[in-house]
Amino acid sequence: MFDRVLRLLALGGGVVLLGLMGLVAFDVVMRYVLRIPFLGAYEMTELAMALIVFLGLPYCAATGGHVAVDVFGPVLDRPGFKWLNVLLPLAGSALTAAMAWESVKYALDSRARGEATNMLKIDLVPFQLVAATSMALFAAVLLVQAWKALRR
Amino acid sequence: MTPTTVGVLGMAAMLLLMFARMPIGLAMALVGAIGIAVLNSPAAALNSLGSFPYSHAAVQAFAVIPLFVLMGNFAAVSGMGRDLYAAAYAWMGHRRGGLASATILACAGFAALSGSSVASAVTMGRVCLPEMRRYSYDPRLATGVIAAGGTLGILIPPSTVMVVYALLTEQSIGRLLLAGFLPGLLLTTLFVLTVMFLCTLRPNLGPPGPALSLAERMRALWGAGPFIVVVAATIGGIYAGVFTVNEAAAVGALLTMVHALWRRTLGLTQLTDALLQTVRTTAMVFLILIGAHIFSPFLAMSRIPSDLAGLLVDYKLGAMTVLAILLVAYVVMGMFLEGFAMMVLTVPIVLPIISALGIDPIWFGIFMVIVLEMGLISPPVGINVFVVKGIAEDVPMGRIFAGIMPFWFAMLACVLLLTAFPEIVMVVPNTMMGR
Repeated sequence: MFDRVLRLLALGGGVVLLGLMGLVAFDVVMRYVLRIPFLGAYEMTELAMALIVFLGLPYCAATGGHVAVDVFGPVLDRPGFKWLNVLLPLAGSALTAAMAWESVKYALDSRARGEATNMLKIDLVPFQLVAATSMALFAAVLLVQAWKALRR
Repeated sequence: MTPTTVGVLGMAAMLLLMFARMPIGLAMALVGAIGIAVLNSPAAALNSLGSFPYSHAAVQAFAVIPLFVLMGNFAAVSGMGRDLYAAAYAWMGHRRGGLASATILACAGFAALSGSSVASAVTMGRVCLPEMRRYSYDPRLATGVIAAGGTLGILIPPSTVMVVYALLTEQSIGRLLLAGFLPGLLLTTLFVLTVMFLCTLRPNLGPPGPALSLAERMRALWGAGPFIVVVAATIGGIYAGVFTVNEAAAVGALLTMVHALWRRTLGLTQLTDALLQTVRTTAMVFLILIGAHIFSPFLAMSRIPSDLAGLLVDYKLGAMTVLAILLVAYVVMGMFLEGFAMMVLTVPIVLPIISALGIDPIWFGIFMVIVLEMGLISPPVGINVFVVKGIAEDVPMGRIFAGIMPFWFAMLACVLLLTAFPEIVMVVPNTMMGR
């Protein structure tokens, strides 16, 4: 269930990416054919990037997509290293949870300052909260990994 | 504790966490945050943890990463790899070792669509390996060319690794991508020469295939037409200054998608897979970028990079000696570390040294990418070798590595040539139009 939700979120990021592709291509056509620069494209690209990255981050973690070094894999999979395989995801989970919490504070600061994009005046806070939620889900994924390592 | 001590402890902790299989981006963020807390203040560390994820993802210039990755994934679905191989095969296949040479050329072509070595090796391996089997090529040669040819993916533009290098070193993405173009052609030529040399030495390694008529050859070449259109639009567009890097990537992705739709190879399942794969790769790259942006200020605060650069300048070692030391160090590290990891870890330390010696960071980026490629195919953990092993399950690892060795030396020759003639790297970006 959890994994399905993460996959759906990532797919949402993929749809945003398709939209971004269309947007940038459309911008090119507007500029060269109609000679009208599309002024909002720059900031829409920024916001789309935030969505693509953060909708995909927990899915990438859950599917083992983040780059890790596996030189000592055979050694680390021995029962004697079980504690390490529980402890490291726990540490990662604490870190990402802290990042989620600090990201919420960052979003609240940004709300207090009333930050929005230059041209289209889009409120940044929802996008920053997506980043915070993504880090929280990442923390949850790492907790699940620690739990699995413990049960093994 | 002096900043240097904290820096050394931090780097040791970083290595320990990494070898204990913590994802590299997380390990860098963790060590970086603790280091900043010690050397600056806990408040500064927490502030970075909260603001960097968003502020280093929501950046307009970074859109090039997912868009080029998407283009590569669409190209893998669209069957362009197969068309490329057919075209290269039609013109090269009847020569001795011709299928292996065709494999190299097709890999180089696919590298112009995809920015990943693994993706190039997987896609072209599935196409080329069965053909080489059919003509009873020696498995060493057959697997060696795919592992080596695949590495061209990160040298010939577009290249995800090079975009990340450009971001870390604050170089122009467009200039860096174009800088890889001629070295990519040079390495492709060296690979083909290696194949020819091997097959002249031992003709039974790669027997020639049947020759095709001129009409058949032209038809195969025509089949590669869409590929030429995409490459002209993307790499040509950047070079001529018609497109920004983002625009080239978006147009390239759109064109490959249209091609795949037209060839009816892109159904809903393939589209979902391509999108998920792209988003996953993007997230992977950005976790590393975010981690690197927390880790490298910590290293700078420890003053280790600047001290090291000062030391090298004081000892008057000279650029060539330092490059030779770095080459050896990277080759050794490449045996154990993954390319991305090696780059993000070493760039903050090596870049000040390079700058102090007056070496152009763009040239060094290309140097580094080729050396990373050597790591991709050297034992015991060359990733491309595992990829090839996955496709050719019955060939023992030892034989694959044996097959790769001649190509590894070709890469070394390429690095030496680029060092002797740096113009090979710099001429294309220096004559680039627009920005």
